[in-house]
Amino acid sequence: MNLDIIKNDIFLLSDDFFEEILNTIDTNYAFIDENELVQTKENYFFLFNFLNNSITHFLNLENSFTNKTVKKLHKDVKNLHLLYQYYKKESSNIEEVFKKNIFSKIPLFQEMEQELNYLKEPTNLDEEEMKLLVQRHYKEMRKIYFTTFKDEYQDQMQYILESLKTIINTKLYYLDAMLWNHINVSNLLKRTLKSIDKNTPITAKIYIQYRLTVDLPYTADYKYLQDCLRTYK
Amino acid sequence: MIQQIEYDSNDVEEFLKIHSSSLENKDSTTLQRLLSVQKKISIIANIDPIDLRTIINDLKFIKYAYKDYIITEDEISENIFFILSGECHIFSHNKKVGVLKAGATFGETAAIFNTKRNASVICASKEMTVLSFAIKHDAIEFCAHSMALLYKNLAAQINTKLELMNEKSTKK
Repeated sequence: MNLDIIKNDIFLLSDDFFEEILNTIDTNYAFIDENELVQTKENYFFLFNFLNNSITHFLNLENSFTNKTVKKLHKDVKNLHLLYQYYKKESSNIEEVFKKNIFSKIPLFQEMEQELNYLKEPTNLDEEEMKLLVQRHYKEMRKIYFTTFKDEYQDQMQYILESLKTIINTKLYYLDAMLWNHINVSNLLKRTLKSIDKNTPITAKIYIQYRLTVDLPYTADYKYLQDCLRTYK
Repeated sequence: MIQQIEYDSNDVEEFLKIHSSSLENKDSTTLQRLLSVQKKISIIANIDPIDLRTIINDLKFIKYAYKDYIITEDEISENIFFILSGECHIFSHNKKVGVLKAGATFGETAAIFNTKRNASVICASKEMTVLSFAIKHDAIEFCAHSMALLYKNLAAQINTKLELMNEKSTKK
């Protein structure tokens, strides 16, 4: 069988499999492009847990401290992060994805399975030989299809994970900036964070420094906050 | 799959308020997307990705709504389009002559030869996303081999189109 035909089969089936996530990525990239959003080089992706926990905490303290854009953006980033985690897990499940979404949809294998089923109990030597031949062919073809799919799958997965990371990074940059702007106009939150000088505008760095004075040292959370502080520089 | 969040104009305004002087890496995501579909765009499929960065110009994602013109007949523009999603119809002298779907490339001949567009292309689905780019012809100084490949690919594509037209006219 021609390798180009196999590649084409795989391309078409992979396109179906990845269609939805690639559309999500395209829509997000289009939003970033159309609005000329800043794609920062800083690692905001790393700050996801800090920003997510901080917003949830502030919303518990004062649900109205922010506007609907921040709430939407927060939900959007959380959804995208879930997608990232899902695809990260899926990236190591090649064999399973191949079986479920590709292998079962290729007519060649269905035909060979039918043939093998027919030759299940060979009645003469010819049939016995034929069965062995089909079995060998089936195995070889499966291997070729799997190798071709694996290459395509790994390339696509790399693109998907890198893209989701870039999109999340960009959106977190904006979420971060919007969040601290809103904190500074909320009297309730400024009062709650009372050990911070009320005349000092609250920034991510100042908030982390405040958290480091009240959190228990030598814990994983404490270490993570220290790393976040370094990310903000 | 997750629910997509829709942002309205007020939300976009909030985004744009966040000022930053550094518009770093503006093209990087679009370029990554182009590289991910490079194998599917026959005229650039076998070009070295490093050279491709030099050859490609004005790279952007564009969204069209139903009935939007992507290309207007007789205009001169230098963009080549790759359809990421959606569908469009081709009209020549107000007559529909073809349909293009996701995965198709169009506009390359006029873009490369700098001639007038010989047909109009109109979005025929509710929404359509394309990757649009132009070729930097002066890149021949730095990437002669890749530019030669590009023109060779284009010649092969035109040849295929001519063969198809011949086949059609013979059948008629």
